Amino acid sequence: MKLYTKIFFALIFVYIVLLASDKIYGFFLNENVYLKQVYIQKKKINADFLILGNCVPNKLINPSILEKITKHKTYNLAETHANLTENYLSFYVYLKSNKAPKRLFIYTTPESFDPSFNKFSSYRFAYLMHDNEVRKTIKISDLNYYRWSFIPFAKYRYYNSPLHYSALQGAMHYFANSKKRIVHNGYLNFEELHKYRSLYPNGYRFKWDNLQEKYLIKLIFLAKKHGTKVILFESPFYSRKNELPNRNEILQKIKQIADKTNVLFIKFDTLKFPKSNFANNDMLYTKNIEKFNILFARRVLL
Amino acid sequence: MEFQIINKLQGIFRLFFRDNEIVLSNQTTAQDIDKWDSLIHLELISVIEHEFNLTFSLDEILTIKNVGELIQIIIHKQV
Amino acid sequence: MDLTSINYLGFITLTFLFYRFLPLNAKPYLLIFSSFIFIGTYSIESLVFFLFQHVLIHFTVKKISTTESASIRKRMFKLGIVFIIAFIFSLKYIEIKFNNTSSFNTNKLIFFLGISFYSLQNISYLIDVYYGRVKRLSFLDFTLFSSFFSKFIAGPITIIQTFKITYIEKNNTYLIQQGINRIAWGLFKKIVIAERIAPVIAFNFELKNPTLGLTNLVLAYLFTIQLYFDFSGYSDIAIGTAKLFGIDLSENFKLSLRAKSISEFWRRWHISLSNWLTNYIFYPISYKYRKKKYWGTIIAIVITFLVSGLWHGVYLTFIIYALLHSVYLIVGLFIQKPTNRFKNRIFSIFSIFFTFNLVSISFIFFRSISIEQAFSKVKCIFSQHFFSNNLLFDFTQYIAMGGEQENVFNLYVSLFLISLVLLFEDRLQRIFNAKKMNVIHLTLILLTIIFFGVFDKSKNFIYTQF
Repeated sequence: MKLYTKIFFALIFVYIVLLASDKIYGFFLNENVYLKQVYIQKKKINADFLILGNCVPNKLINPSILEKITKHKTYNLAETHANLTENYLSFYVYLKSNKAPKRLFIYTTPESFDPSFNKFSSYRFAYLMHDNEVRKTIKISDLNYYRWSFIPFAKYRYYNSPLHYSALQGAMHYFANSKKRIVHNGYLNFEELHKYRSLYPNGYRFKWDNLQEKYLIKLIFLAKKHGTKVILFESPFYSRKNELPNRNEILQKIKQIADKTNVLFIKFDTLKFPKSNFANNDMLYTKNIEKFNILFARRVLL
Repeated sequence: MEFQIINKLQGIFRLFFRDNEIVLSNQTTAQDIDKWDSLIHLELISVIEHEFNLTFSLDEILTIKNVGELIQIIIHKQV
Repeated sequence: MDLTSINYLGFITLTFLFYRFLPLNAKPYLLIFSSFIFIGTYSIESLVFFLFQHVLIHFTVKKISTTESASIRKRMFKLGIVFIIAFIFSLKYIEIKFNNTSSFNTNKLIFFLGISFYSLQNISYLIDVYYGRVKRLSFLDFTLFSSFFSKFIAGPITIIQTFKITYIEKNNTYLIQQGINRIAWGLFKKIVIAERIAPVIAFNFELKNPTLGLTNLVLAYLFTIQLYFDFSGYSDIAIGTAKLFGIDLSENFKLSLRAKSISEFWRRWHISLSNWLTNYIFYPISYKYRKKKYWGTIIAIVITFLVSGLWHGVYLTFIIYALLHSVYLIVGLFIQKPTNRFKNRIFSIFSIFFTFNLVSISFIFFRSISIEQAFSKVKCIFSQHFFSNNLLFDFTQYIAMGGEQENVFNLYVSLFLISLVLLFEDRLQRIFNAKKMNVIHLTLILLTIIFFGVFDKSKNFIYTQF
């Protein structure tokens, strides 16, 4: 029947469009040096110190201040909302085209193990899915995405992800050789909040995700295998009394992991910054960040 | 008979909706007249009842689909 | 099984294939069987609840139509009505007990799926049989009528008179073609438009401190748009699916956001519910009080909306929503005649925008999880903190869910798609309601869905909980 033939050819057409888009997106995303994953592959950072974590270290640890004191090249590989599994994979990608760093700083705080705060953003690795280890990790962390990724182009679309923008940006980088907003040390300047805002409802109990623990240990061993010294750290912290009943218990658990794997765990919540220094529970105002970075650099050099 | 009723109805409708362009036919439904909605449907019915001096039952009101059916009911009641 | 899920597409394809090849007298059984599977995949409880009410209503109606005695008929009739109302309210009560903090947590409510919609259908069936407007259905027909899967979860609420099956001939496939068109259009509305802005609304409504009046106003607009495309898209899929099986369901939305007045809005929005309420609540009440002129209408409006509010949920926010619409309609009644004179384009556009604003304000109450939240949002809109000098920081990053360039870009894409669809909605609707399939149109819409749709989060359909 004529109609069915038409439908058949329409489907073939859709399939071809998807296949082509898959290739085009993959290509341009790989040109987008604004993305950290691409930048570290293309630019060969070979940093001495590497920072991993979620949005807190991403905004808190400023490599240019650290470098002045430590005289070691530093790169901030922390990504917004990234959990420890994602940190592991970022480090794995980093090692593929860079020398292993001398020291690796991993941001570990109760939030890092709580799925309601951080997640695994599969789309950040969409164009690296030809790699076996990437596939394996995504399969464990995000099975649905993994299944969809077999359909052409679906891996760029399965999440309402910002990949349209990133691909466009990549095209700009490729055609116009645009260097706008490229961050060479991974540190992002940001606009800060006007008023202190608590992140947690009162009496919030942190959850613990075993998968994150597993991947933290995996990450530590991967670093050690390359002769990198691993240091776990947390940010300065402010909370009202009894606001977070199981925070100390979780910190204890992290300490146990550190002891078990024989790495250092530096706590900064003992620094006792006053509340007026904080924009929210674990984020300092810009003017205090410099102060903290100097402190951080000194602790690191010990 | 039918012609008289439809003329009288048209007058009522024009006065009620303040619109002198309304022209009724047997097929006219509520959808054809912009302001004829369920909110004022019963008010309109009351005016018609008053003018023709009769009463409709709830069932009749619910089942009227167009002006033609309305006229049939009026004829039926007036006999 | 969500109507926008891959599972559902597989489910209807399979049912459709069996349906085509089964002999005529087996077809209704297949549809009933599929419907039971469909309801059962949500939860066994909903199936049990459904069957319980179903059997009870069937025998009540049977008794009503076979007994001669007027008093027994009346008693059975009242018993049936009271039973259904008690049923609805006990479910609403359980719903509150289960989750008393938020009226917008759909996860636990899967349990009550569709039961409210379906109960309304049973009430009208009881009334119509009692007053002799329709004949009683056989158990088979009644079961097919009430359980038919595409309309079970969220309507359109169907009355028996309009529910019939045309068995599709081999050569006459226009219903099937129209069905496929409608499903594609519904998927587009839901996956591309509604789902793209859903997270923005969920995110912003949870924020405790509304910052700017502008943010809250835009949020109210976006929620109105989301609700419209979500629900009308859903109805399109339901109607389209029914067409595949030769069933014509009534239309539920007719370009609702183009209403020039609130009364027109209710003739275009959730039509099946409005009609139900008009026929079974509004007319009887205003008939009773019609000697009181305007007052009769006013009493009927208020009661009708209160019933509608309570049916949506036993929350204060729904009551306020209902009262607000009553006030809109009553005021509208009085200003309708003086405004009849203005009949130009500019006035029409102004009326549409004004109506849209009124509706959006009312939906703040519909969406809010508490009365305090709703009032603080409305108050914020009318406060002097409407604008800000730093719009990116105080406005855009809330609506874009982040101040990064990619978030803002994503927001612009959404806004572009929304305005495109709103502007050309009538034309698009005509294309996708056609009786012939246009392969080029279908290909284009499929590609648009793949490129701009949201696929990972379509579980929170707003209307299933009612």
